[in-house]
Amino acid sequence: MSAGRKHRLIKTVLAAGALALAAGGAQAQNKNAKLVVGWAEPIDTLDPVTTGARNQGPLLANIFDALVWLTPDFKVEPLLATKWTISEDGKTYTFTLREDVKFHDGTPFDAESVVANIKYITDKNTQAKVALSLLGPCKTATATAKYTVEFKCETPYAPLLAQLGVPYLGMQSPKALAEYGKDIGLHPTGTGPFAFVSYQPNQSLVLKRNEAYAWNPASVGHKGPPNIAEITFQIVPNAQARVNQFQSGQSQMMQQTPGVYWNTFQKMDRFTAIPVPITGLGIFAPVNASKFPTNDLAVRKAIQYAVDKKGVIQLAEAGAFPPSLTPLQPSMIGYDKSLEDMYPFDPAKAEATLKDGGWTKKDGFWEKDGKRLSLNITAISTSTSYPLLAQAIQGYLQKVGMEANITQLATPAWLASNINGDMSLTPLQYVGIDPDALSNWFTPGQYFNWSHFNDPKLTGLFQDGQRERDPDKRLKIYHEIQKIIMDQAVMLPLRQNIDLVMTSKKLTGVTYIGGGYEYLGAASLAD
Amino acid sequence: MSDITSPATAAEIAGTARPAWSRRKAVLRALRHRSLSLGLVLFILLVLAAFSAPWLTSFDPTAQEPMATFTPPGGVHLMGTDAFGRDLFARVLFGARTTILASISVVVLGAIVGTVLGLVAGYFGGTLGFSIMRLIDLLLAFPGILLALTVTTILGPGLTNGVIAIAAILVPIFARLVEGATAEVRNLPYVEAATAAGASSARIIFKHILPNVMSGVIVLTTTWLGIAALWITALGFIGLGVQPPRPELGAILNDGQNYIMLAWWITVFPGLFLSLFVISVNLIGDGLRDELDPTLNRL
Repeated sequence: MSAGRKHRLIKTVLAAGALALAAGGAQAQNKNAKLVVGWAEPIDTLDPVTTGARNQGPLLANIFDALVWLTPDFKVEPLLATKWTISEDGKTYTFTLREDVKFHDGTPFDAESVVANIKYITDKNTQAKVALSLLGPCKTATATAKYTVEFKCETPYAPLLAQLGVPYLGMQSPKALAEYGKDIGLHPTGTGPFAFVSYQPNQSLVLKRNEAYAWNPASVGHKGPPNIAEITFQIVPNAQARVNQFQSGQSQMMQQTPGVYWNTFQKMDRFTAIPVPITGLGIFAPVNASKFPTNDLAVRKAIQYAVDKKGVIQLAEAGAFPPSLTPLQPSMIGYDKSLEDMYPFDPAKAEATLKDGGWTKKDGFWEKDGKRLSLNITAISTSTSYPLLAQAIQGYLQKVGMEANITQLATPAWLASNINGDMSLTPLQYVGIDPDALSNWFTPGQYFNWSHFNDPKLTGLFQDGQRERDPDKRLKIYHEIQKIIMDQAVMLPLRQNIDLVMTSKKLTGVTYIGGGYEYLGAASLAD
Repeated sequence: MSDITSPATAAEIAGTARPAWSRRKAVLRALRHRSLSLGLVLFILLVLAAFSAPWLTSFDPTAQEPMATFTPPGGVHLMGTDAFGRDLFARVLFGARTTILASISVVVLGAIVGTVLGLVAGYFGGTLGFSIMRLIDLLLAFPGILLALTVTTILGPGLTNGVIAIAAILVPIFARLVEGATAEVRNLPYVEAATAAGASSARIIFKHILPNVMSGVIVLTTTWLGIAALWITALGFIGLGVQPPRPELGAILNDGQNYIMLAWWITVFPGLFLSLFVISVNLIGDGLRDELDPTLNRL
């Protein structure tokens, strides 16, 4: 310990007396530390309810607290709710709330606040996105006492408890909701460890320590207000610029580190690498089952055999990620290890599958009834990684004589092509914490049914999965669901979804909410 | 160019036909023009390199090689390899071919459409000319790259659509120039003479007026060729031009931007090629302007 710091500590102790002795005496933390984070994506809105972006989650996680805390391995812990009970029929959830919590604007938190939040989320004028789907069929909340709130579900909905811990269901101040209306996204007011200071679109978001914070989740290992006084999230979408900023010390933390730098920086002892697993379906490509030629099961299976996932990751992202081999990500409930070996990389088998399916090779390319096997791979043009993944996939498909063209599209055009079913396959990500996330992709009528696949048996299984309360039975249902998805080859799993976070060695205590939402409430930054 | 005017009388009235000795002198003078000859030499070298790509390298510009990613320049891979292990020398040459062909198509397309519109508007004037020119003004009011982005959004990404999009930026520029020049020329005595001799409008426009506005069009074509090349690469850079894995200079630059600190060669070589190409075209453009029409300095 340097003399200067010791001096400062003594002064603090003298000035603030016994209180400071209790807080500062444990370790010499820099209570004035200002943290700069290189953030990879622009912010659409700071309203947890109306945002649709996965990358918003970590920002929200630091401003808002949810009713429960979800540990990285999906254990549900008390946060704003201290305890809960679930009724026999699985349709009623009753939460007992903490009584000492205040929002950043001073409004006390109670059962009525929760009710106001749920009303806001379910209001037709709100245009809620992720938050609404996380509630599932449980769209009504009533305050049965000042600090007791009851959620009612139309049908039994097992995923609710864990999903209430996701930052998109963070509690907002009812006063702020009423006061700011449509502009709530510019005035985020939660109960979290950090409070909103300012936001410059496409530049930065500044948060400051919530001095009153005393309701920390138990497992993060920190009590009271955060050690860090101020966080600036600087929005730097250009990966190279983000790396330069971090490397030169202008930021002490960066997310979405490009694969090549991830490998290089890990060898340096100045930095700490924190891979944050983002659960859900990983990075994958839905395969369009309604359009030629991928409406042919043989073609879909051949694609699975033809693409070397490890090779794709090596080419597109410097091998920084493990491959994804099943519909659900490892560490999730319902992950089925037995599916991992279903489609090994085997070009010869890909060709044999096509031959068995009635395809013939002519001039190096496959064709059937005079029509050439030609795939249309689309990718969001503004993304750094999807066009690269598309190119790598295309390379492997061409090697077995499957013609593949790439079309890079701006997001609106890309969405339209997915909904209309113009593409054969397209790399993307989908985030979720419950295996039920799959139902959004493979049930007819769902927005994300971009593989345009309809199997009544699968649809029935999804309904069973939502209703089943017995964890073991539920697990079996999702194993069966994934088996069908892989048998039908309507999605091509590519790589695991991981936020590659790099921090300076001086920054410690960075953790995350289950599902992959970085949380800085327990972090400290040394001088 | 100007000596292709057919009825000798009309041409001589305007004093545009040049005897053979004067033409030879013009060529000699042009070659003495240092920037013009330097630009020409550079241009010919680059274009030759790009178009003889299949003979200069045996590498397939799209062949991925997982074991040879980010190989530095030298050895088998003259300019190194990119993130996909593709040979950069092959990619730059084949990419340059695409870029050069596309930019030439852009200016030729833009020049033809713009010139025809300008000739029609300038010669006929009246309501027709007025409506054409207001439409041109409308197009001119758009910032160039925004217009190109709008067109690619409507037509979808791809090289052909990119060429159309950027040609759309050039059309109003050519149309403006040609319309002005045509309006000036159409009242000259030799046009009146042709009209009196009973020539049709089409004949007058293409045989008498066009040759006299051509020098301006040629200068403008060379001036804008470099800019067209930059715009084509810009579209490629943002992913709306040539679709991968086909190489194109802008797309290669984009591939390189994420690795610039680790693999500078992916960015530097295509960047160098593009810069040299644009410089050569600009040198030629400047030289031609000096030689063909000193009054066009304002362009």
